[in-house]
Amino acid sequence: MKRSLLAFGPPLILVILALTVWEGAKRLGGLPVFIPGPAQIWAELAGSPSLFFGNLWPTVTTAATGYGVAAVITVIGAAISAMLPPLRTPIYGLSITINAVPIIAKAPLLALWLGTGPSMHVIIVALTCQFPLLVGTLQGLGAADPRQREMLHSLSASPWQLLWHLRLPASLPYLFAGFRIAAPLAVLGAVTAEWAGANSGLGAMMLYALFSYDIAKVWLSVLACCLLSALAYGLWAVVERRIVTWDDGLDR
Amino acid sequence: MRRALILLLILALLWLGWEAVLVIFEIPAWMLPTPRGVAEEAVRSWRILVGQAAFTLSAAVLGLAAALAFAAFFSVVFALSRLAERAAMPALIIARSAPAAAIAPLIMLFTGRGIATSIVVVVLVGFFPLLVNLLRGYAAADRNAIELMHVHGASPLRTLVTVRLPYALPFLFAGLRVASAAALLGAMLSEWMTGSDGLGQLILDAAELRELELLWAAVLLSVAMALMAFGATTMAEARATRWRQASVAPGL
Repeated sequence: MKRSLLAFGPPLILVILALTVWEGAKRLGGLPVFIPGPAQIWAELAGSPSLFFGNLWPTVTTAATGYGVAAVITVIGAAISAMLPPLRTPIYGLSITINAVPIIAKAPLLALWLGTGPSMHVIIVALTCQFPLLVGTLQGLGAADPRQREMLHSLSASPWQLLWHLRLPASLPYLFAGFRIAAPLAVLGAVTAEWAGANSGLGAMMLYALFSYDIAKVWLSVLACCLLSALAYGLWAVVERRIVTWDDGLDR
Repeated sequence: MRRALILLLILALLWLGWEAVLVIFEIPAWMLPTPRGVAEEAVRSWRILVGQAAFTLSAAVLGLAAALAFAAFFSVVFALSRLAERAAMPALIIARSAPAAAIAPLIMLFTGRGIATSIVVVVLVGFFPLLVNLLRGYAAADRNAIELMHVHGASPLRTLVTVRLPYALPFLFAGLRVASAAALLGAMLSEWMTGSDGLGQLILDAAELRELELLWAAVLLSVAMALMAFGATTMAEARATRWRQASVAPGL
C-alpha cells in the first residue's frame, strides 16, 4: 500500500499541478487561441460524450484486432523460422521489407486495393506493428543459455520440459519487450489508417476537427490518442513486471 | 563488389516477379502498374520526384540534427545528475509513447502549414531513441576504465568525455538508425497533415488523382530512402563497433 502510494503520488501531484498551471495560464489570457485550457477540452468531452466514445471505440477495436492478428502471425512465423533455420532469412527479410515501406506509402496503396473499410484498417495496423513483435519473438526463442540447455539435456529432460522450464522463461523478457514496443505502434497504425479514409475513429475525428478549425476537438482527439498509446504500453509493462520477476526487463 | 552483384540479382528477381504476378493473376492496370510504366514515369517526372524528396529529406535531416543536439545535451545532464534523470524520465517516457500521427496535427496548430511543422515533429520522434541509446551507451562503459579515471581524480565530466562517450558511440549509431527511420516517417506524416510540399504529400496526391505510376515511383523512392538511411547507419555502427571489439579483445 505504502509502496504504491510512493509510486503514484509524485506523478499524480505533478499532473494536478500541471493542469492547474495550464488552466490558470489560460484564464489569465497567457495562452494563444490554439491552446485551449483543460476546462475547454473537458467541456468538449462532456458536451458530446457519445460523439467522443463513438469515435474512440472504432480506433480501439481496430488497433486491438490488428495487433492480435499481427501477434498470432508473427509468433507462428518466428516458431517456424526457429524450427526450420533455412526459412529464417526469408521470413525475417519479408518482415524487414514490410517495415521499410513507410506507413504513409502503405496506407494509400491498401486503400486503393481493399477500399477504406475496417479490413483495410486492421491490415494496416497489423503491418505497422509486426516488426517489433517478430524481432522480440525471434530473439526470445534464441535466448536460452546453451550451458543451461546442455545441463537440462544431461539430466535427460524431455523437449517439453526443456520448453517449459528453460526456453519459455528465457524468452519472456524479449517477448514482452517486443509486445510492449509494438503496442503504441498499433495505435499509430489505426490513426493513420483512419486518415487514409474512415467515417469514424479518432483519426477521422482529428482530421474533421482540424479542417473545421475546431481546436478543442483537435486537442481532445490528440490527447485521447496519446493516452491510448501510453495505456497500451503501460499495460504490457505492468503485466511484464507481474510475470517476469527475475529480470529487470530490457529497454526500460 | 559481390554484395553489389547480389543486390542487382535481387532487384532483377523482384522485377521479374512483379511482371509475372501481373501476367499470371491478370491484374488490371488500376491496381498495379507495370514496372516499365513506373520506370518511364519516374524518368519523365524526375524533377518532381527529386524536388519533393529533397524537401522531405531536408526536413528530416534538420530535425534529426536538432534532435541529436537536444539528446546529447539531456544525456549529459542525466548522466551527471541522477536527480534530474529521476525527475524528468517519467514525463519523457509518456511523451515517447505519443504517436507521431497524433502529435502532427497539434504541432500544425502552432507552426502552421510549412516545413517548420515537419521539423518539429521529426525532433520529437527522433529525440527519444537517441537519448535512450546514449544513456545506455554511457552505462555500458568498461568498469575498469571508469575506476582508472576515478583513481586519477578525474571529474565526472572528464570521465564522461574521455571514457563514457567513446563507449557510447556504437549505441549512438544504433539510436540514429531507429531515429532516422522515425524521422523520415514523421516528416512524411506531417506533410500529410499540413498539405505542404514533400514526398508524403506527393504520394497522397498521386493516390487521390489515381496517377498510379507516379504513386508507385514515389512509394519506391520513399522505400529506397528508408533503406539508405538504414544502410548508412548500419555501416557507421559496424565501424564504431569494430573499434570497440578491438579494444576489449581477449588478451588486453
